[in-house]
Amino acid sequence: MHTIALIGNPNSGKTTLFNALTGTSAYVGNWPGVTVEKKEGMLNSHKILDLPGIYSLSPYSPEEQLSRRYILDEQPDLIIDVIDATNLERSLYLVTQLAELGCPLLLVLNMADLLEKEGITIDTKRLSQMTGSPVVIVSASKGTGINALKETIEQSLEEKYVALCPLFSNFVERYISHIIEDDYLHAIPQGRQMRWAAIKLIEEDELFLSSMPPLPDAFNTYLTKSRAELADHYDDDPEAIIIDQRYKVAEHIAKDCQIRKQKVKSFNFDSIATNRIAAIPLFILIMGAVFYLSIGLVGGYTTPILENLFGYLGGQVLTLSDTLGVHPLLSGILVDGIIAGVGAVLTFVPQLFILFLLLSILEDCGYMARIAFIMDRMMRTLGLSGKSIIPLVIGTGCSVPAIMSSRTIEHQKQRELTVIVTPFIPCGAKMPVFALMLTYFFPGQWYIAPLIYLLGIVAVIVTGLLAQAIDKHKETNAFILELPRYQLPTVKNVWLQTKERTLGFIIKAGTIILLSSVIIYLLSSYSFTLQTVDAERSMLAIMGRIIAPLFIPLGFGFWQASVALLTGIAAKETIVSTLSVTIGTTNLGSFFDPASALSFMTFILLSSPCIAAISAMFKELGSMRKLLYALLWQTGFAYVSALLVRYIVLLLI
Amino acid sequence: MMQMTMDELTVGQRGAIKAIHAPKQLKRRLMDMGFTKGVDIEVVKLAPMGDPIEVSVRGYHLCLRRAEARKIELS
Amino acid sequence: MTTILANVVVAALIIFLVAYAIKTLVKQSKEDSCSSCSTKKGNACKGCQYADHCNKTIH
Repeated sequence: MHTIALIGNPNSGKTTLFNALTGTSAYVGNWPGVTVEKKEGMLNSHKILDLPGIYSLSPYSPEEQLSRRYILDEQPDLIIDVIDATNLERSLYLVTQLAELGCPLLLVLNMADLLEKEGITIDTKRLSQMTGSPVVIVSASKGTGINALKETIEQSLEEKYVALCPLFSNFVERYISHIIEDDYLHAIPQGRQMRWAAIKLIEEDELFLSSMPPLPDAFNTYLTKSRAELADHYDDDPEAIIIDQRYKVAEHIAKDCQIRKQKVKSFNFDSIATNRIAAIPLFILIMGAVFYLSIGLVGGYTTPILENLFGYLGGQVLTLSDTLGVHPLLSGILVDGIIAGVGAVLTFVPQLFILFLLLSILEDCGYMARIAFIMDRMMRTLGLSGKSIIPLVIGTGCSVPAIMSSRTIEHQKQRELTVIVTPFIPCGAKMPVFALMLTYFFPGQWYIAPLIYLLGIVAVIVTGLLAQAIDKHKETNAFILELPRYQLPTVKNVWLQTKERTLGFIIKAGTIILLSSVIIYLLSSYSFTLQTVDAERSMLAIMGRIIAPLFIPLGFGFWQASVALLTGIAAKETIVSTLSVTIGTTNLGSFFDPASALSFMTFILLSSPCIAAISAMFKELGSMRKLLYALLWQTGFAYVSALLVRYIVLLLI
Repeated sequence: MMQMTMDELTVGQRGAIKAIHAPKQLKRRLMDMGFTKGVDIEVVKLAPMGDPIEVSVRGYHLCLRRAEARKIELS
Repeated sequence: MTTILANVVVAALIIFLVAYAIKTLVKQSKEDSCSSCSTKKGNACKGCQYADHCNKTIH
């Protein structure tokens, strides 16, 4: 079995190609850095890997290091460099680095469908001659050229073409050939080319040097002298000289293989999307429209219908089992446990479907990177980066992919702060809880739902400002982000992502929600001596009462709410199913009042997220201590905010 | 005479890169993205609060903050 | 007779649903962890040392 690695610049379409080659449906989007972990798939019994995008083999953020480590340590049998054909020059810069690794290389010119529109023609034959690697032109999103690519892959694995190393200026080459002659270079890892090692020595690459035996004194002196001479000649440091030389090679190849016609300037969506005045209002408008369409319009229409449907279904099943003489325990589990619990959650499928659909359109069209651009200045005052806005927007769907997407933020402090504040943005699973409470206590008061989102945003701001205030070592750091071309979202991508996320929600209803509903029903029907009792004396009530006093100041110190919050750790929708099993969705008014309902929602909004998001946080924060601090902050903040909300409402009413 | 840096360009103005005066890491990042000596750049747009700025280089667009642009010297 | 039958049917339905839910959850957690990878020498999932969890099971 052979191993094939897909590598390339961020946003060059590696994952789309990966999906096309392996028939999978991994997550794609149109901003640099969608893929943060490697993915494996199979192609004709070869293992094929999709790696996070990189601009060069000297990476910065954690997900880029993954790609470098993989390419350097694992020595795949074939490297497929996915190139955005409309961005040839910069892509060739990476090619000049990959070519030196001594591993067969295959160049895939992706986005062929855009070439004509951009007025670019590429001579693939010439490109293949100049790089010594086969070149295939494809359009991964349209699916053209995939078969030819598969053939070329097989051929490349057999023939093992050796890529041509880029040739630098004579002045640099002289030093390279001298260094190669030294005995020290025999110590380099197997399969690596001498030339590659020599260049690493000139660059003084720390990672490379640390993997090698110590330099002999004489050789070290020679290297230092060479670097000084190079620096003197080019008036720059050796590392910069090599980058410069590589780009010269890339320019040369690009010039020879590519004809670019001057593009006719047409109307550009960016003139509004990043307009100095309109940009931020437009962003707010777009997000508002997303929620209005999904929750307000679709949700408002479908929720009552589905609620009635499940209510009717439960009623019918109950009458039927009563007439048939089914044991009350069994019919109870089925009707009051499963149908009530799972039904309460499934009610929200249509509106979440619309929410996921709209979010994946946003992700696919290229707007995300623009949001990062327009919001960077604001995010910076909070100690965050413009890139932090991407997790926050994705977080309105689900916190787990949102937390993972924070990995593209290079700066550690900003990344960790982003991870901590992302769960403050209410995810799709928290929506059912709010919808349940709002339709019961505040029917027709449409302005409360946006207030909840606003509160989440306030929590982000307060946390950011506080972190800024206590941060003693303020460092300035870079924000460099490629702004991808806008594209029409492809139906296939949008559909795949929407389907995946909606199915995930439904599967959760059929698994976690179903199990917890059954368990909650049983625990609320029996006492510790396993006698059938009424709910007030059940096991669940006794357990819930242990922590319930904690919530008395917040106005929901009854055991049902405590139990609901606890089960919410498994998945936030469980709060809805637990409430509907223990209280019943039509009976909320005898437990909550408007003030405590609002404080309950506030607590759910801000307190620690579900277990899946907690483990995603742990993965990104990388330490148990940091995770505990984060959870403590979230829950403490939630408690205080809920308290405030309750008393403010009590004062107002 | 003080040299011109990239943050001094206004929208639509062009320049050629002369040198980058930045710490090793940042300099490498900028160069990896294509900001090498002699390359033509154009400031395309400013973000709502005038920062960051959008720059066109080597046929694609990227954005960076003024603080970084200030480290890029133009000729 | 119908009563017994109805009870059996409802009980079987509940057991089936619960068993299926547990099975799906177990399968999911396996896919999310590295336990789906073979630990045999030369056959181990290389992904584990690079990714925090391997995504080997994307279908």
